[in-house]
Amino acid sequence: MRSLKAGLILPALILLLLAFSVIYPAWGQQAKASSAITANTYDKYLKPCSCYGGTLKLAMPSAVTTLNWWVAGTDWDLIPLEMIYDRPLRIINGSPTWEVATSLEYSEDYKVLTMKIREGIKFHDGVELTAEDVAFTINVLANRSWPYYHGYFTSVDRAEAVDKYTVKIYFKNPDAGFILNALPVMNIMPKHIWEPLLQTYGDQLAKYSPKPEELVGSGPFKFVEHVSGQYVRFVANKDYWMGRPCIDELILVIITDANVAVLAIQNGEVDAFLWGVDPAVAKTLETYPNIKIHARLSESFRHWGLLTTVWPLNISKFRLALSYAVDREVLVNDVLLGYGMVGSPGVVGPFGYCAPWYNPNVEKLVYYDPKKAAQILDEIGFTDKNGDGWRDGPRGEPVVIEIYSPTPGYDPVRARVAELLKEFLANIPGGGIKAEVYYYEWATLWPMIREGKVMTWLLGSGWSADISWLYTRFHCPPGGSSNWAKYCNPEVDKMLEELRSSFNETRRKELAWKIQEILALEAPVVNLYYQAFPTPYRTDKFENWFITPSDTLSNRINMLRLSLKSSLCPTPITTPKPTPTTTPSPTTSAAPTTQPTTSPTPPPTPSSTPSPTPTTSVGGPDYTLAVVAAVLVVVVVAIVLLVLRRR
Amino acid sequence: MVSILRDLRYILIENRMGLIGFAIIMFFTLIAIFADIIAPYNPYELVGPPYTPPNERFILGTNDIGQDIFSEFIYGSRISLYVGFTAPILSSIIGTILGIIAGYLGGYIDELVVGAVDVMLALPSLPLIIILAAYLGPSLNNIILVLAIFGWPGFARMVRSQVLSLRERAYVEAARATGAGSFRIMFRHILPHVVPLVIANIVLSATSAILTEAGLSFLGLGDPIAKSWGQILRRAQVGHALHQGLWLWVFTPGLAIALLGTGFTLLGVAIEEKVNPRLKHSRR
Amino acid sequence: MLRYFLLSRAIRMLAVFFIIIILNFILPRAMPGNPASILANEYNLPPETVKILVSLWKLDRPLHEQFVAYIESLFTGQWGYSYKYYPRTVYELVMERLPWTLLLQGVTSITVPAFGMLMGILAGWRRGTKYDVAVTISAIIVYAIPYYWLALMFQYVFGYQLRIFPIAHALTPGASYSNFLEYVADVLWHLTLPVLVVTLTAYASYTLVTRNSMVDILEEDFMFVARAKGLPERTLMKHALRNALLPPLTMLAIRLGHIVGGAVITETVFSYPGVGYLIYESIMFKDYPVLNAAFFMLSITVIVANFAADLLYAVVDPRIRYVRRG
Repeated sequence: MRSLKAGLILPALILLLLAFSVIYPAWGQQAKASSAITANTYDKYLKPCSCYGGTLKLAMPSAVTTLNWWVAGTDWDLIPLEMIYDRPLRIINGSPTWEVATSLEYSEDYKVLTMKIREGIKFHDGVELTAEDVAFTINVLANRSWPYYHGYFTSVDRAEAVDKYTVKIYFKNPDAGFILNALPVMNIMPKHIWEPLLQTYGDQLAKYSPKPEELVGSGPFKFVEHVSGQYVRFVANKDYWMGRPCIDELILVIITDANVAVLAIQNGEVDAFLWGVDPAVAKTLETYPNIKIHARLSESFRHWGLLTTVWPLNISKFRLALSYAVDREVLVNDVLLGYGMVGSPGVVGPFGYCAPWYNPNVEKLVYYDPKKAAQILDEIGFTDKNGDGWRDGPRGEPVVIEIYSPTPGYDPVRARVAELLKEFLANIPGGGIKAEVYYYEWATLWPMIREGKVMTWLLGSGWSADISWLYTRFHCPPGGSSNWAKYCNPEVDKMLEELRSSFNETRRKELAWKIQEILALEAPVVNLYYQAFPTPYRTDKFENWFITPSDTLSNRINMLRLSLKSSLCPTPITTPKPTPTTTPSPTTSAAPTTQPTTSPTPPPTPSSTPSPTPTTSVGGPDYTLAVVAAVLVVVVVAIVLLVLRRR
Repeated sequence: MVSILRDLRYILIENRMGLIGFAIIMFFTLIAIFADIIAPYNPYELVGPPYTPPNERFILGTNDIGQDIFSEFIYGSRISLYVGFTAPILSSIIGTILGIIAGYLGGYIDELVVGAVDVMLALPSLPLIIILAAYLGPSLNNIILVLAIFGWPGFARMVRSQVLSLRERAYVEAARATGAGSFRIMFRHILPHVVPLVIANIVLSATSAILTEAGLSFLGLGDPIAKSWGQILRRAQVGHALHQGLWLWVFTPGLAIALLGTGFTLLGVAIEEKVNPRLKHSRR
Repeated sequence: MLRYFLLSRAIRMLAVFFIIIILNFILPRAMPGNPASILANEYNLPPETVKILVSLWKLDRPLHEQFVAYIESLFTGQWGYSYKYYPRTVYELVMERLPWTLLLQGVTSITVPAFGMLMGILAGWRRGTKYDVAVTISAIIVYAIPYYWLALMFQYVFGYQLRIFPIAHALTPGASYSNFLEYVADVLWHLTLPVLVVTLTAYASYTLVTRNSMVDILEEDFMFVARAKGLPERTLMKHALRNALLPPLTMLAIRLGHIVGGAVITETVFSYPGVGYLIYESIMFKDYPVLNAAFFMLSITVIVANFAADLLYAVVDPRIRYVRRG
């Protein structure tokens, strides 16, 4: 309880200090320095626990390959590690939130960043977390080539611990995206554990598997064990500086088979998924009484890429016409079954990392209007010249748009989108545009897209926290390293370069808005939709679910504040302090005496929560199946008898 | 000529196994031929919302992208039959030619063929088929090619041992005496005598060809857009059909594979009983 | 004669071995798709990291250098790092998965031949009766059933409808066991459906072979003589069995060689964490090192098993001691 209060008070205190420091002349150096960064604080999100105790089980679809954070790259390696470490900043609901850091300030020339960190944070082994640990972590990430996040730290020259709670980061060149891109993904690693290892192994550390006792962080959970291919188990860090997590134990259950996972959540063997299920499966899960679906928008845009170097896609008006012809609503409703959001023609989306940069005007600029598409095509001479119902080029050349999609077996969503795009193009009034869909294995198709060997393709591309990601996607290659459309526009290039180097937030926003408008009108890619991953979670055991459009279910707030329902609570909180509104009734003490922590199924509930009896076609014996089986048996017997008669 | 008719009469009419097998094959052949008429929709067209349960419009429902499963199923018969016939025929052609040459000429050529056959038969076929299919790329013809590559040694070994005994027969000696060339003897005098056995084996290996194609498609190594039964099964599996209770989607194509396979085996056994005198005796 | 036979078989073994090594090297490398770029897409790797991976895995070296490295690693047992599960080693992965495959295939290697041979013996003994025909016909039908299909249907009936067996995996996910017995029970519970399905679909070939070989033996002259002598049925059966079980036993020896390879589809359908499933995953992911190692292992087991089957034949069957086949 004491640490919880500290967690609430500390940020406030530090904010005060911060404000004070700006005014106080003794801090003049910093006061002169150009920009202090603003961010949210945790108290905005943290509710008090309604219960201490319980085991939370979250399902992961894939095995953990390494617990060495330096090289961990997949979600399924990063999520377990996220539980045991803290970060300087964290992005919650799209905006940065102070965690270990309490202030960030750039020098005038943006070549030095000063980070202050919170005092009194302890690693699980009791050693205090200091500026030395932060500086060590940054230096490894910046100076070694093998860490997974090295790419975000290439602009960093070095980091130094100025005093116990102050770090200075020196840059080779100013990097406007650094704070948002790098700091929220950086786990602070304990120097006293990793520096000796680094000295022993050198660059071979990339292949090192840390022993359990080396998995020490300052985060809300302590690592207990990892049974390969089965689960990763943690216990709550009861001395956590932000206040202990409400639950006692956390198990990340590895379930590689999607069908098994779905059965597991139906039966209450796990409390939530950490990845999205198939939209159709989500629809059936939604009908279960205690299961809810969190449609988590992924930080990416799903688009129809157009190779802008081949005729007729090198004509920007032609591409614009294609963009007008696509009914994005139909894609979201019919293909994603509603789990998604219509794509902005300006690519940048109105949620998550991109929310502060989103330009709402572009949707008034380009929208679904097949008549407009027809009009543009008429203008640039793409009309039906030979009367076969399909539009031809200005000189009567045949026009066929090739759409490349991964196979339906790999990604049914994209396969269906491809077929629908073909229909949209055919339905342009006054003569459609002929399109052909080609299916390739994804492993084959992906290099073809990258090498510019396909005319148009369907792809989802992720974005980073800072808007400068537009540079890699839309700057003329080779600068735009992931500009598969080979889109080149000198005007856009100039703006993208400025976006990357400018630290002036208003100017950057202006640039971002302008770029979105140009992208909408020039359509190097036709942005289709933002896909949401329907992620199921159970509501009958834990409460205080913190759900935002773009955060996963394993977000930090959930990990800290998910609590057992009071009816299941082994040790209800009876403090007279400002506790939850529910009055602790005396009957709850008669709650299950068995420890619910070890039982794989939800403990018997004294309340009237109905058991998860399925109501869809899945449940109850299917009688048609029995009939068919019977018919089958009869037929086989008949065949056998028929053969026998001959003897 | 008369004897062939009599054999046919035996295989197809007197032997009920042959009759049933033949009937099953004919049934699916008719479906394949008249697929355009029987199938209510174009199997490639999106005709409804995805994952529609069976109803009066879609007898078996629609698949994960909204194509009619029943139409897919009807067209699937074409692919299974195509694979079931072409793969064994291809391997029988290679196998028979090599078998006859090896058996008749003997010597180094024989050593070479026997060695190759031995090595081929010792290769781990299923994993190699899988890796070859993965390597050659997902296409129907590649699967057939792979099946032929692994099918011919069986034929070669069988034909060679037949030829070894035929070579010493009086009429071959006679032909040789009249100065007929090796080539002529091999393909005019010996070939007709091995053909019946080869045919029996073609029909028998059709079953495994069909099963292997379906298995590879199910593993995702088949032609991703060909409407084969294995592919339908894969799509059902990937699309969580069973979880949604759409079991007919899984049930129907699998049943068809099993039925057609049974048909080929029954007919093959019936033919073999007739043409292979050793078996006829033991099977009574 | 026996020496000549063994020598020729040994030469053949070497030839096969050589082919396998070459194929093993060439095929995975000729597959389309660069694994580093696949990784980069799956996990949003920064381009710098991709470059490092490429040089780490020697993907940018000329083929002959890759070949030398390959041969070297093959014989030093260092199979490198998995692309998919990097930074885990292939050896680690294979060894982690192998016990599950050995368990599943070990059990079915007993149940399948036992059930199949029993049916075959009974059918052969009562040859010509209705029982014989029924067994033969049902074996022919079963032979044509795709077992992944039967697996799916069983999953539907026992897993989704009746909910008495788990539909996949080898252990209950996330379960912790209080004692060893509980663990064993869980393993067996998960083993039931796969074993049932494999047994019900794979027994057919054993039945057909055993039955035919029984019939052959029973119609040999010496059996007629024995019967004429008035030997009791039990003794007759013993004589017949001793001779008739040779072909199915050889089949079994060969089957043992296909333990790993035969598991690919079964383990894929049941998401059983064995080597077969690992192979499936690595094909889907173009995980060259795992593929190389898995196929190397597979081939070795197959070759050794084939050799064992030949030996078995040579030692047990006096008729084949030994004229060359054909």
